[in-house]
Amino acid sequence: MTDDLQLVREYFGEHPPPPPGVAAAAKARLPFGEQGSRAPWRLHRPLGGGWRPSRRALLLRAGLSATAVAGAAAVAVMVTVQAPSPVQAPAPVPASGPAGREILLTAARTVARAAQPLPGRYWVTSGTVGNFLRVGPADDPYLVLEEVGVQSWAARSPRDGSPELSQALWVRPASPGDRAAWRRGGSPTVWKGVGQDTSLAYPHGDPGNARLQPLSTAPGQLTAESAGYGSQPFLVGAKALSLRQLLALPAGPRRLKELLLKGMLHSPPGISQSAYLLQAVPLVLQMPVTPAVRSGLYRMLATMPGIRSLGVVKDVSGKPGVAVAYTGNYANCGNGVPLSPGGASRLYRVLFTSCSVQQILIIDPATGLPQAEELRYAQLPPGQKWSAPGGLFSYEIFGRSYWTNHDRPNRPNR
Amino acid sequence: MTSTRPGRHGDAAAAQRDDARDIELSLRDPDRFGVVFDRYFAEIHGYAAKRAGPDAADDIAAETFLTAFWARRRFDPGRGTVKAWLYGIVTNHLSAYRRRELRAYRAMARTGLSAPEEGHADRVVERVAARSLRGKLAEALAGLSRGEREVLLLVALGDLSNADVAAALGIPYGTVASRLSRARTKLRLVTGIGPALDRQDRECRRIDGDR
Repeated sequence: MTDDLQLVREYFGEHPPPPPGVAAAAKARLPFGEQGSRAPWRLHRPLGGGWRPSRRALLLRAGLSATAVAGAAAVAVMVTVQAPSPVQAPAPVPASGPAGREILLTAARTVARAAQPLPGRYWVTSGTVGNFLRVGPADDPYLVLEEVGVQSWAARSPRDGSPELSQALWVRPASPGDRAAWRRGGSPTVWKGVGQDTSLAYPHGDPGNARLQPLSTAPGQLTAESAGYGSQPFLVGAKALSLRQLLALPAGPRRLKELLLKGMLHSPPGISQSAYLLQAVPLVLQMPVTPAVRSGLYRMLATMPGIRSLGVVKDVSGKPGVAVAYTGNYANCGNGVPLSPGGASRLYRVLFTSCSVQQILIIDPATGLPQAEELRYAQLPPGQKWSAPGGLFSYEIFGRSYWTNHDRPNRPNR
Repeated sequence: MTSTRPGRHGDAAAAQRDDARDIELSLRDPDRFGVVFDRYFAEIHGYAAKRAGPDAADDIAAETFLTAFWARRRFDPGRGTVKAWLYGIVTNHLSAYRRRELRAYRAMARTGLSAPEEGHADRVVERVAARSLRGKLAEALAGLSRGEREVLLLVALGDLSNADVAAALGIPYGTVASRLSRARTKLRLVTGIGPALDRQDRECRRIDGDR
């Protein structure tokens, strides 16, 4: 008889012991001999209180009706919550255009001129993520748009924690037509099983872990997840870096490309280097890297094939910027289907279909920094319908990134 | 208990006392923590490597011991072993690492492509064929709740006892037993493999029934 636990062990395989250099390097990080090693202040006890509610749904959990914005503000220490504005998804954009090189090289020159700010206690990065989700009955579906505020605090000192905060801001029908369908459906405030028919409403790429939380208009709570001691809070490519290491990054485009592409190991098969780097670069641009590195990142992107210019566009908040885009065709857009619909089972099967996704990076011409990112279906998977303008299914509006000496926000509740 | 392999019991209690004593001594003499490091680094690294892949494991294991060092004053031998304490910390770091990855690649995740959410394990999930045994196992693992998966993997890969898992995760013993039972039941349902209902399962059912 095969033991199921043995099966699990075999599944994960055996790994050779770490090379001696790895242990030595890890040991060298222990501050031996340091005086007064008091335990640092942190969000969670080291042993934790067991498993906290998953935040994988960072993009799935949602709160709200328009009124819940007030509730959000009550606990809000994070994003400035602007009142929900009408969705101004711009018109579909052409998938091709002149090369984006000029836009990227202009941005490279702009960021190179910026001053390097003096480090503070935490580097704060924030953003607002929006996702269109298909909900409602199969014969009369509609789209809702949820927005989630995200904020990360990256500590300079290893004694401070580096929490990632998120808060559902609001959920509402995406358009007047969707609102009408929502009313026909009885104006529900909770949607269960979001993500079945909606791979596209399942844009979170988490088929295996499909423990879908219901989408709800209940007010969103601020959740804070500590990333431990955060002595290396900056993830670049495959490596988590300390501030010191981040500031020592090479500025040459070729070296930067090499570094970032190491992170591609973690990305799905079939994705191109251009597609990967167009997503990885804005994240590093939002870290406290040197102006030379920022410039190098843009110059590196300028060498990547297939990145086209879209010229001047408006982001979903209506703010104009200059944009570049890359369109990739994918054979495996995940489509999670529950094995036992409506049952207690949380097992999902993933069907793979093809689709074509356009990634858009909108750059603020004044600062050269990333302003927004949009993901659109340039071509829907077979059998899918989508009603958001321009195939838009997900976006992030990037906030300002800055150093602060303030105490980071604490968790308002457990 | 299925999780405890034979041959460990002889000196286990003495080893635990040594561990706890080393932690205590390290409060005054930080260098003493090096003994704990040397004793457990490879094991914790191995667990991280299985969960997150060998590259990520270097960082995760290093961070785990850094956390442990700073938090060593709070280690309470009354709550569990040093080993369980370290597994609790590495579990937190694995989760933190995953979130960091998620933050870094969440846009990628939003494309609907299979994302690196669970790192290594889920990449394996993607690769395996759906009809093979490994595929079924992958599917089952993926279908577990996070709590169930943590318990199962600490038992199967970390070779922890239920009591150690409870200490590591800071959850009641009964919860460990019931999560493990549910996890194994799901594995069996999907793979069709596993022991028939054993004593432990009955115990778990009873505990579940009590709640």
